[in-house]
Amino acid sequence: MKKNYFIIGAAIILMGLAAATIRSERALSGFTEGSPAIKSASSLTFGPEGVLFIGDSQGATVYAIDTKDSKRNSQAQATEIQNIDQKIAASLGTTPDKVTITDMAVNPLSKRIYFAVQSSDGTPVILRLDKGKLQSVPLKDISYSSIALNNVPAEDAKDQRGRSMRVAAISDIAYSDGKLMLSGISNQEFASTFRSIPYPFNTKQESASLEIYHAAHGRFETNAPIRTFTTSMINGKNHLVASYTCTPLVVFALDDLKPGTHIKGRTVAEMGNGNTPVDILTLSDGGEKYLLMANSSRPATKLKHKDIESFQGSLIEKVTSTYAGVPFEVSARKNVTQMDKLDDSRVVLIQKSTAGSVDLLTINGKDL
Amino acid sequence: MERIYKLELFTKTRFRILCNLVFFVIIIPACNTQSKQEKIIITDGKISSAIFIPSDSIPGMNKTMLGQEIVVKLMGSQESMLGEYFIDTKGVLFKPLIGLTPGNIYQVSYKDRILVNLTVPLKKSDKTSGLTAIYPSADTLPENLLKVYLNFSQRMRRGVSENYLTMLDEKGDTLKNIFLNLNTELWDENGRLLTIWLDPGRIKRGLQPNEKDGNPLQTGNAYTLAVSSEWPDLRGNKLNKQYSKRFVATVKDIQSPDPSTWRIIAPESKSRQALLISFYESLDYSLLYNTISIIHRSGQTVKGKIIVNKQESSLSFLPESNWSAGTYSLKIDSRLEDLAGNNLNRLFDRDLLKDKPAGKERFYTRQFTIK
Repeated sequence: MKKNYFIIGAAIILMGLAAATIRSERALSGFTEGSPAIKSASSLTFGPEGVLFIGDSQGATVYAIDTKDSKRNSQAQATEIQNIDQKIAASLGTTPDKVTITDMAVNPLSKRIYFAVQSSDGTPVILRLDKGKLQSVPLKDISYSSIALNNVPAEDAKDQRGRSMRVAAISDIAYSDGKLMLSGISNQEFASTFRSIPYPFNTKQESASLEIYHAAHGRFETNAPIRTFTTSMINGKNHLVASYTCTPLVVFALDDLKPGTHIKGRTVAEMGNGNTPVDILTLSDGGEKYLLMANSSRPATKLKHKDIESFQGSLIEKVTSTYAGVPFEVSARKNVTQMDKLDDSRVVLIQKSTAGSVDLLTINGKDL
Repeated sequence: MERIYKLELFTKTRFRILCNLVFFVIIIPACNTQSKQEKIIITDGKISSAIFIPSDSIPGMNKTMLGQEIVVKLMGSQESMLGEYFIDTKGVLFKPLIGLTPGNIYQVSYKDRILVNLTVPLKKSDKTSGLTAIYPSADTLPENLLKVYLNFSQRMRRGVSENYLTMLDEKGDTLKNIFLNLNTELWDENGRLLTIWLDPGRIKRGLQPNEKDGNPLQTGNAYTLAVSSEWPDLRGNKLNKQYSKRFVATVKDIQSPDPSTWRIIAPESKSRQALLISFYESLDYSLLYNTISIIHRSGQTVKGKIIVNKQESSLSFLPESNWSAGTYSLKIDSRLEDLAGNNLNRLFDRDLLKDKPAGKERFYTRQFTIK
């Protein structure tokens, strides 16, 4: 009898192992086979099980594609490729001036680096690096699901007299705890629409408009589009940390983001003149968490979580220094155009060197 | 030497689908020992989309060798091009991920031997790409101007506006950090209308960019918005000339548009005359098309077309059907903005201590009668 139990137990374990290994062969929930009509690849982020989200600004849609790249790699190797722009362009048979790397994302399971590339003729392309070699990520005959972005409430009064003059683009997307979050920018309002979309996709999507007070004074309030954002645990609660187009860094408690609400965030820092945030993420150094923000023209900056947690005020007092609010450390590394997290301590980034080359680098956050 | 062929080479279904797209093929003579062979660049519409290698130039080729033994590279590059290979008894078709670039040379190799160097012919510009309008179209603009719209005649290359768009001062010097640098440019779905923001961080008081560099524009100064003729469209054609718009900056606009001051000229009933609305100031070109509607007393929206004119300071509404006599409402979405981004409810840069509280109305209405 004992022997029988052993056999049954072994069979169950084997079945479990088999199910795990053949994950890539079964369809993900809500996914269908086909060739999605992706018009543009503006933003990338990874969800669970190797699912890649592609934000399509032009098509006002988010696609989730099954990359079948879900094997965990616990020993991510550093990647260094000089002139990554030339390598990508050459793999497409053209020169760097004819392509734009619109986003880069590291698969958190396989640690492979994915690139969204827009060619000069408008064709969107997704590539990935495998042991230093570029591969095409197919967008035809694939397993995918998608969700069209709802109009924001203000769009309800639809233009019935011809073309819509409204342009809505996706400025950033991120996935956390079963939700795809998305910040949008429109040509008609200088404001931010923030959406939270349950994944696997259903018909639901919630949006809230986010408002901030300017840094420096509490005297001017403003609506502005979010440029890039991340989510992070601050004071034991999950927060949205958003970097705005007009420079302030703002935190919102995710619990406060209720559908259709209008929320004011807490400005924790103003990062200085001419700042153009590219990507923001959380790393840790010896157990101490910090935010790392990369900028296209200014140096990368680091803010310690404990400083954000201890900073209780908004920037309500007039400040005279160049930077204000939560103290932050300025790195020597600037001209970063893309950045994503490789693991808890390292990032992969694309940087324009002083010599003019565009390089892919892996850096330990503490060395930044 | 150039010949045009109908292509009916392949029998496989996927191949046929691809070939159905083919309008014509250009035959380019090989330039090496295989000179009798013909290598083909296949053109799909206006894009060179694939390379065909006839089977007699690749003896022993089979399906398992695709992408391994037969390789296409951009001349001078070590990187193999990515794409799809299709094989048939007639040969191999390579379809790269994006169209081949005119002017580039592509090297096709088989078993480490160069078969051919193919040059994709440069296309002559048909000079049809132009800038048809710049909005706002007035030549005097408030110094807190927020947006500029560029309307092109063709779909333009995206993500490159910062290379081709400049604002010059009176001396002809380029002004730095004047436009908002967005990672996602705001093109309309046709790829022809681009929205450009002047850096709001420099317009909004209290922000460091404003305090350090001041407003992007200064009252009394003349500026030129210049669009370079080098800006390519999606086909690679440059604009047919350089475009520029000269304007003078005037005092800040710190008042919301007020529909109660607008002049409405009602048309006659039983006609399709235009309803005319004058705003007495230029308003946002894009929003005017999306924020104004005419409502019949029955509650139904009157179908018709909006035409914005007089430097965006007035609007004509042309109904689809004859007007009937009666009372109508002009319904205006509060999102409507002036050139400085002030909408019907709030100023773009609102001082919480001095300015009146923001309005809450979603819509504003004005009634008019058609007799």
